[in-house]
Amino acid sequence: MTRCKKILMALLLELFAVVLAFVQFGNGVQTDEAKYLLNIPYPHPPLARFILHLNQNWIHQELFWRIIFATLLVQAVWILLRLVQDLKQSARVAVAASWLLSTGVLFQAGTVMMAPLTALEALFFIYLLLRDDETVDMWLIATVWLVSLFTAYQAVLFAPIVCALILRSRVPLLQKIAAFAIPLLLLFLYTLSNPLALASITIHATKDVSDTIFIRLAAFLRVWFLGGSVVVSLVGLYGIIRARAWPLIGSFLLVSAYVLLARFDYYAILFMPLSVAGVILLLRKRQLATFPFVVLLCLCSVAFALRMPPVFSPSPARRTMQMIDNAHIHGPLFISGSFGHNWQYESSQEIVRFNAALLSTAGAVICTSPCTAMDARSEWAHFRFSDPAVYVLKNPSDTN
Amino acid sequence: MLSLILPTFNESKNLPELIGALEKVLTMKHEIIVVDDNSPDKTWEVAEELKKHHHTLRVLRRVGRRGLSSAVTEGFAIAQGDVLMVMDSDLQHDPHLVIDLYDAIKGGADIAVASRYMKGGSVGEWVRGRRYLSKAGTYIAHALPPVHSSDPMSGFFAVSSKSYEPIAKKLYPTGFKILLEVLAALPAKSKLTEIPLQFSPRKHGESKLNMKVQWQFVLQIVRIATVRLFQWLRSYQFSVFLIACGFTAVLVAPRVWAIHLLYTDATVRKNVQHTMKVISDTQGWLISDMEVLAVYKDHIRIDHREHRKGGTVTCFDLPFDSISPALCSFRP
Repeated sequence: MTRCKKILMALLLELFAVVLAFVQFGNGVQTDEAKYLLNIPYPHPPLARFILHLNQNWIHQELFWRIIFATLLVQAVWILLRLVQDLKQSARVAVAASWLLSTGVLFQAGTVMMAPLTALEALFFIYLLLRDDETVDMWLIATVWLVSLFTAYQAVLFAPIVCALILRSRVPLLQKIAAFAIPLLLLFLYTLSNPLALASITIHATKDVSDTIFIRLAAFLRVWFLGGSVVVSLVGLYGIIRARAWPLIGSFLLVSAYVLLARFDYYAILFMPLSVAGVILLLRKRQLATFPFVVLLCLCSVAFALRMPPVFSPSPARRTMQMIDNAHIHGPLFISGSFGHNWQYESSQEIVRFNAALLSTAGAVICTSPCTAMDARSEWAHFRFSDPAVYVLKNPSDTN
Repeated sequence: MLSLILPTFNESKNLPELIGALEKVLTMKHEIIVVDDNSPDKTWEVAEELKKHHHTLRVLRRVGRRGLSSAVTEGFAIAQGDVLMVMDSDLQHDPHLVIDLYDAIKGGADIAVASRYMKGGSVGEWVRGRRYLSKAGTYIAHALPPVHSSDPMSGFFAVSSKSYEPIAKKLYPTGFKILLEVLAALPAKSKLTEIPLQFSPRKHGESKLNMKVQWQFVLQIVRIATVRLFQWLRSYQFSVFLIACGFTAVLVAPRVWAIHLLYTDATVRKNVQHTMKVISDTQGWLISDMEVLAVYKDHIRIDHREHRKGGTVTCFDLPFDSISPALCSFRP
């Protein structure tokens, strides 16, 4: 590809990334995103969230990081194209489409989450594993391994790939063990230093423990298919099994076990690097018909997008906080019912759990679940058209 | 054998004089390869005509490809000599220096550069603006490659084919400055020899130095700097890993020690859980806003962050026997 074509393609990809970022921007910050943007000390280690929170006082913090995350995810296609640069153009198109048009990337690009970052780190390791050059900079790989572990716990799922890379190096076994194990030990040490992280891991792992195996399997299949728009998921798995790529198979099993435990849609992106690696392995052996593959992929992605369209209306947290700001309400905001950190992110005033004894200090009360007790309090008025319900102190003239 | 590459673009008036001067000077076995970028003034036709009288001359006409660096690398690719040399075709480089550069390579140097910025060299009659531009570029480019030359942007240099072969694939031949690429690709222990060059004024034609070329130079510098940074990281990768791990351990270990009672003493653990729940219920604080800093036998120390964007963080001591948090006080 000539230089001009590369620059043009990079610009088009960037435009694509910005569009995807704006798609996510419409709905507002989700609770997990708020944790990272505000550097809340759980559930993940501090490296990425520390960087993300540095500009938290900037009004455009959210959009800035959405664009950065979307850019990283979309422009990552260049790493994949390097792995197939000697193949025919149809193969390169198939690889690019596998990454860019799968719902895993389409739905996650622009979210400020750790799963996309972990997927990118995995992509880097997979690139090192599959490239022709077998030189191994073991200590650099170990450093990136340390960085990835301290970005998110789920980096552990790609340990088989890291292990395979480290084993390739021609150094004594003890050094290999050190390179692999020391970062894990440090992560364990960090976990001990943060009881909140430990508690969060336990809650996460035991959530929905009563669900049957069939429910879990169905949810796993949903997440797995969501990652690669079914087509890339199936073809990718076939590819890594046929190639007997044991590190990739090992990571696939770990990611699957993880998703069986914690079935969130955003984990779909964790399958993406493995699935695309499988596609690449098939293409290298000329074992994939590229045209029908790309066509099927597009159809499936469109079907997914129609079934799960993006939400452009502001979240209840954003809507409510904007209403409170417009009404110039001051003082701590009491929230009755469950609420996530997205409320914290959207609020310029302190949020406190509802406490009837401290009600006199509240600027407003937000009820995320029905709180009929507030209706009984005559000094509090229900803010009209608010959902969830918002109560504010009446003016003294109103009570008279 | 010497392979002398002459990249040309619109040098039809200079080329005959240059070839004539070279043939008088070159007494060793040699070939001269004119690499022309399909010049509008038909320099390649002039070269073909000169070939009839100068049997050591070869002509490569490039159609659809332009650029001094890529012309040089293509010339090197078809060269047959064990000493590869390049010089400008605009008569600004003294042909007699070809012998000195050739002798330097034959004497054991991996690369020999005709330098305008060493003692005895000069840039000639450049206008002040161009002189400053060249000096600035040279200053920036000097420290970047592992092999340091006083004139890393010289267009007159020689390299042994033995040294060039391993690095040929690593080169990124865009723009003007191929010597900079070669110096950046050569191993640090390569032997460099420099000879002074007095730059002569251009006789015919015009300079190719324009804004596009200067912009390509900037991009080249950025790219080489990035590559050098990665090379540095690779050569010090163990130290980088050690520092990263050491830094992490230093940050994390004291915190583990500060809360170790949480794991080693069941009574303290129970008290901590109870206290945090009570404080959460009475103050309305969220557990996730309370970061445990230290655990003692009779209280815990936490950082409480206000539950809002940009919320302030305050340190509190939470005694096990009280429901009121107290601002942190120093404890020996």
